[in-house]
Amino acid sequence: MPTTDLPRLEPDTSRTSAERPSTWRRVTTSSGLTPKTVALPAAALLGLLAVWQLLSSQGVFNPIIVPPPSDIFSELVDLLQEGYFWRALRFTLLATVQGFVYGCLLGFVLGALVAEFSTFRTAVYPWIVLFQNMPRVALAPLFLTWFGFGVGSKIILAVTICFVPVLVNTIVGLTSVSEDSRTLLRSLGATRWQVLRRLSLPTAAPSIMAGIKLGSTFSLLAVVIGEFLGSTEGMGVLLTTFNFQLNIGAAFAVALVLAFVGLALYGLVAAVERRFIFWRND
Amino acid sequence: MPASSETTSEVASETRGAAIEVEGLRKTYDLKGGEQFTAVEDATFSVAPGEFVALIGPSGCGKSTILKIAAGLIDSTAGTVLIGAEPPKAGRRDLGIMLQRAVMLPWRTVTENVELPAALAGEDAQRRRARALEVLDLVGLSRVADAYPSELSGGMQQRAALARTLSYRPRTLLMDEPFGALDELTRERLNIEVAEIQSTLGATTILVTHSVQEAVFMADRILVMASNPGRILGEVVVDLPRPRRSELAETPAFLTASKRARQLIGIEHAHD
Repeated sequence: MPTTDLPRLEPDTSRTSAERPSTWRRVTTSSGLTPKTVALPAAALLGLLAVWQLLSSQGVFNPIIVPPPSDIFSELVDLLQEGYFWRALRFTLLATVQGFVYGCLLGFVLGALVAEFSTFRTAVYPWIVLFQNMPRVALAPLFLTWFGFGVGSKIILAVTICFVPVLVNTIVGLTSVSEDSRTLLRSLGATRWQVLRRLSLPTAAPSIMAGIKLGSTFSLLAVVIGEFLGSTEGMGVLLTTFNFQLNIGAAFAVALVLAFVGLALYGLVAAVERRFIFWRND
Repeated sequence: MPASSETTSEVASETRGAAIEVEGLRKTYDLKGGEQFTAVEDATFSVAPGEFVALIGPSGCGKSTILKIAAGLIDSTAGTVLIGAEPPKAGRRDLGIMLQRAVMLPWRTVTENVELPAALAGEDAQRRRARALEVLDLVGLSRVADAYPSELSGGMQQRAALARTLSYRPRTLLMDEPFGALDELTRERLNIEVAEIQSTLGATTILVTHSVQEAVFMADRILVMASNPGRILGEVVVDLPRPRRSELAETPAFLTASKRARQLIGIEHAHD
């Protein structure tokens, strides 16, 4: 009898096993850490450092301008024992995280308003496009003048730079909801708020997360640039100071720490993404 | 032609106490340059309680438009539509709609998708889960209740969509080419199952389709439509026993009904 003929799972599971890594439960497959993917990059780095060290010891590089890796490493070890280094790191981290959080909130709220209210969209959309395309770091000197050399001007610069990708991706995500799913929810009598919460926001979530990931990178960048231009404290100050002192090894070490800070921040956001967004919109 | 003698007014007069009543329904769209496009012109028909009616016709004949108006998704320009003596309204709990695409939310499991209508209505979580599992069993998807839609084939997704529609026990089912995107074999199997589920539940049903085979196989009555402007040409009564089995497709009664439906559509083509 046809109705008792249960759907056959076999062809479907074979289809989805190929899809699964990119659709759901990505967590289990996405890290991709195999002996090969760890060993090869590590070998590449070690090789580069070895060549660099060798060339330095042969006197090819001027050690003042391009210090050997061993110098940078010992500068880094020294730096980690200095109180001023940790104060600078704390300042930069505080500015970055605050700028990032406020920037994401601003981008998200503004994006949701633009996507949901057409009058608001008409009013602000051209200015968003303008703002998106201007080099927003150009505002940094103004912010220093207005908000001083403290942490405030760095936070505001970070917000200014970081909110845009979040904003744009929020708009794109919320407006990419398929007409069919809107029709479905409407036919089920969903309120506007329910459509937003149950349909639009989850649909937009992957896009919004992509914006937030960009934002995390951007906010650190903004804070360091702000610190270069004028600051009482911070990693950017440390870096320019070492540079002026021709202590290039220490400057390198600071840049290295900043690289790890950026990576950690991005990794944190990516981990949150993997935890909550396990599907892919089709 | 005997078939063409059955005008729309005759169709309307033959039912009393209908579950769905459509009278003088008209839908026009304003086009650029002040012109008007008539999607549906003066459609009149009714559907008896528990009856299965198929709307068939070429693309642009307004069959989906009629369904969307009945579902309360778009407004009509003129005429009346009554479903259970009440005008259409989106979100009516006595009315279920199925679209061509299954539209499963990818972040919800199959069961959670089936629970969606109840969740939107703010129903108790335990009760709605129990009911979702019940309808999943009805459509034969119990085994994939906890899977995500991306793991399901197109046919299974459409089954899940059917379960979602049935989850709140609507007395009226409106289906807009629900199997149009499926492969032939899956489509045939679902036709059989849906026809059976429909007659079991006794739901009044309108199916929009462009497949004569599907219409004859599933419906008690077929309304044949023509396009430009969209209108009802006539009807074909399908007098076949239920439950319908795939073997029916070879019986003389089935072939006669198919032929008549094709003739109705074909006549219109000849005048194009």
